[in-house]
Amino acid sequence: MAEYLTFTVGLEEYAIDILCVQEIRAYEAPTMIANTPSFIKGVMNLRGTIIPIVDLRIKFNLPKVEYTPFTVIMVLNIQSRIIGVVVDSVSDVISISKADIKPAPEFVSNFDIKYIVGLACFEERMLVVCDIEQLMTSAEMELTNESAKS
Amino acid sequence: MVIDFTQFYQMFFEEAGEHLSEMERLLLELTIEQPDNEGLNAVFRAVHSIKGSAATFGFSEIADIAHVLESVLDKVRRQELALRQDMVGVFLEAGDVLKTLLAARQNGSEPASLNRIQSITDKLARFEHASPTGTYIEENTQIQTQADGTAEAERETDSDVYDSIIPADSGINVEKLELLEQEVVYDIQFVPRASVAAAHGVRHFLEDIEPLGHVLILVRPIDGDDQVGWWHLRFTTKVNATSFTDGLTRISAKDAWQIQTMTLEEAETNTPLALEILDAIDLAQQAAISPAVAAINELPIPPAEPPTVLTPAVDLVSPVPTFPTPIQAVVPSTPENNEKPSLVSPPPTPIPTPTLAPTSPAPTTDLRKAGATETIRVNIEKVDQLINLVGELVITQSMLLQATKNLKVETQVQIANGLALLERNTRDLQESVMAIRMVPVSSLFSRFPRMVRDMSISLNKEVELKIYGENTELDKGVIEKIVDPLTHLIRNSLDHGIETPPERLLAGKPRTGTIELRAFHQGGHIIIQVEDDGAGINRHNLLSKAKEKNILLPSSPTDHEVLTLIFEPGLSTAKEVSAVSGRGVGMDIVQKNIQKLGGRIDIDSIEGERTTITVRLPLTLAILDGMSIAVADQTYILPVSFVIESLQVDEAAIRYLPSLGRVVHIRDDYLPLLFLHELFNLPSHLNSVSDGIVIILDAAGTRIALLVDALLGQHQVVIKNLEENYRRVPGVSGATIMGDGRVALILDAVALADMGREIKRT
Repeated sequence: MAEYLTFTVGLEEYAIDILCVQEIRAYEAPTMIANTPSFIKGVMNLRGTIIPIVDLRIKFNLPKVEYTPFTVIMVLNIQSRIIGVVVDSVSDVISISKADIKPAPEFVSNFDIKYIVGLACFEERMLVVCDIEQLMTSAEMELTNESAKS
Repeated sequence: MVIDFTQFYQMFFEEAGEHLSEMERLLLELTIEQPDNEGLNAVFRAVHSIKGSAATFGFSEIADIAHVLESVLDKVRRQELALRQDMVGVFLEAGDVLKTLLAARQNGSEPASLNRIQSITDKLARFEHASPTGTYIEENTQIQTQADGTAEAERETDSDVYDSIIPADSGINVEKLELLEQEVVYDIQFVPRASVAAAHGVRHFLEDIEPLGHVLILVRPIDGDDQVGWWHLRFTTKVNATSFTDGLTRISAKDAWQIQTMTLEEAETNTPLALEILDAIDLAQQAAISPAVAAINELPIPPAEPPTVLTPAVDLVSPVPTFPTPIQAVVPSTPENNEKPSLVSPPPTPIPTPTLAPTSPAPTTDLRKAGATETIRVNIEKVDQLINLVGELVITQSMLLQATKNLKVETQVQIANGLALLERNTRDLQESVMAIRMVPVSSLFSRFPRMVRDMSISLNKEVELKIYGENTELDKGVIEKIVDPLTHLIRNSLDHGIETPPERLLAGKPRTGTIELRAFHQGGHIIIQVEDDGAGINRHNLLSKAKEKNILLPSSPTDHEVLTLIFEPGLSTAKEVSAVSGRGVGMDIVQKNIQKLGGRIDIDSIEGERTTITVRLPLTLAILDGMSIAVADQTYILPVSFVIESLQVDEAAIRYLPSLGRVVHIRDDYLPLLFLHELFNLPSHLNSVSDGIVIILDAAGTRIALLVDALLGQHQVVIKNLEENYRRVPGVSGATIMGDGRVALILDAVALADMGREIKRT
């Protein structure tokens, strides 16, 4: 059994390993950074540390991206780097056993299949369990110096 | 007992490193013809400390070199050897070898290059065995010179603490042990050498003789066994006196010892009395006990000792009334009872050697106590963490200040007062915390005398380096990053600036050139200047070079404009490429590095007279003077160090040239004009250029004009790293947190200029 944090982006519900999550904050507009992909909203001051903010909804090409009082930033700690991720809302923390995570069929989600661990059912909800670490460190996110070069 | 020494290694490396640089500095300060005694002693002490601690940690290769070096230095300071220029060279080389060995030990690799060790040891040994010029040679050094030079023999006869640090190397020669038929009592008196005492040499001697019999200490220095003072022992044993006299000569000051042999019965009758009385005797009066000891006390060994009472030998016969008994008891003044000559021939008046002269140095331990300020070693990470926290505090403080602006007037006054106080306190706190990172530039400057010396020899030039303001403090981080640029500047001065002695004489200048290195504060910045009285910079040379490289210049350039050409890439005026400079890494790199630090470099030169290079640096890397500017709805910080001026320009002053892109005509110059909103793809609120502000920037020597929407103000900002959680951003060098808690990006003028060039190309 492992604990997961679930959140929604558009109509889909996702689950990520709770151990990656450092905190959850209300959305506040970050400082824009020029010449970056649109899903990088900019940088923000997290108690003196400057962290990048990624909007997953833009990354997933959702047609409607709104910033409401429910919009939240999940502050993730991935490979000792801190990243803020904007999602529509955060639902709850649940426990899922490894066995309950079923392999995902292709084209199931906005995600590239390589970042998906599998699908899990929890109280009639279908969750996309994703490998957030792999996603955030991937070159397409352009969050590190190495990825910026490519 | 096994002690884990590894925990002390780091301390040893740091200290040894300091001693080595101290030694280097002192050696370079020495005048060859008349070496100053104090300086020589200090060099000796530095080497001695390295030897001592290296031996303690078992770094024998370091200790061995230090030992040989020390022996030569010892002779020099005793004026038994005259100091020569080549000697100083070899000493410095030995220092280098020691540095390499230290580094090898520190990195955990086994010390390589045995050849180097051997060659430096040989070189040093050659000096040591050179015919001494002094008139008086101490007994033990004589032995040493006669010894066949093996480390073993040297250690055996070493006159100093070496043997006391490695107890295995004791003074007791087992082969010499000769047992007598019955036990005898040796009455031993001696005064140890200062260096031996400081290294607990006496204790080691006692530990050495202890197993051979029974040792009874009658008198010992009051302050402990590491103090110089009079020792009086009774040693009951069966061994022959010769077996420990060697050890005794090694630990005692010259001739400051004597041994008398007595029978057990004699000892029995004398001892208790002696003990009882000696306890009551004042230290100064001890001098009266025997002529030998009196002579010893003539040598002013412990600095704090009260004036010596010199008692003529006659007093032994008719002693001074205050202590009649002890004298008779302790020193039976007639030798008839003894099987051997009791007094081991002390000469009547020993000649005080230079080391024991009144100005002789205190042992190293005292020196440390005498240091003007106390320091502690702190891990730099701890300091940085503290600085970060204080930065946070400053930000929180200004956030609070902003928040109160929206409050009602009555409440605002109260809170504002409190906040004003808080602001002052935080600023003070910040200043003192930042001061922790400040170190004197002497740590930076100290490497240059050596460099100048070595280089001037290899270039056949005579150069004197004068250093001013070495106590000026600068952030440690800045110091580390300024080493290379500054080294480059000094090399330039030596190589291109200072002429050879014949050239100088022809030009009517003194034979020896001067390079002045200065550091001082000026308005929140530190200025470092390198000035040489050399040939200066040839204007024509520079101009023709510039023409070769197609560098654009105004039609009649000012001197300053010509001189700043030197910062153009690929422009070296060196006539020939030498080992020292002219390899293409030029002043442009120097300028780039200094600008990276938020500093500026400027040059001034009068041909045939001098060249002055002035480097202006921020006091710290953590805080920056910034101008806040607005573009679209964004705020950016522009480091003030880049800004030359800001002005409003008319649309009419802008030209579009196919080769250069957009330029703006300001006074006599045409400068490339960049629009910040264009570089950053932002929607501009400006209708025309004249609505905005044009800021002239100095980007690594090239001037560019940057159009922004508005100037907002000037701030001191705390620099934050963007790459810690994110990545490099083009045109941006870092970020900071503004008073409202929002992040503002800090612009990099050099990178903006590059971005401008890219845009032009596409």
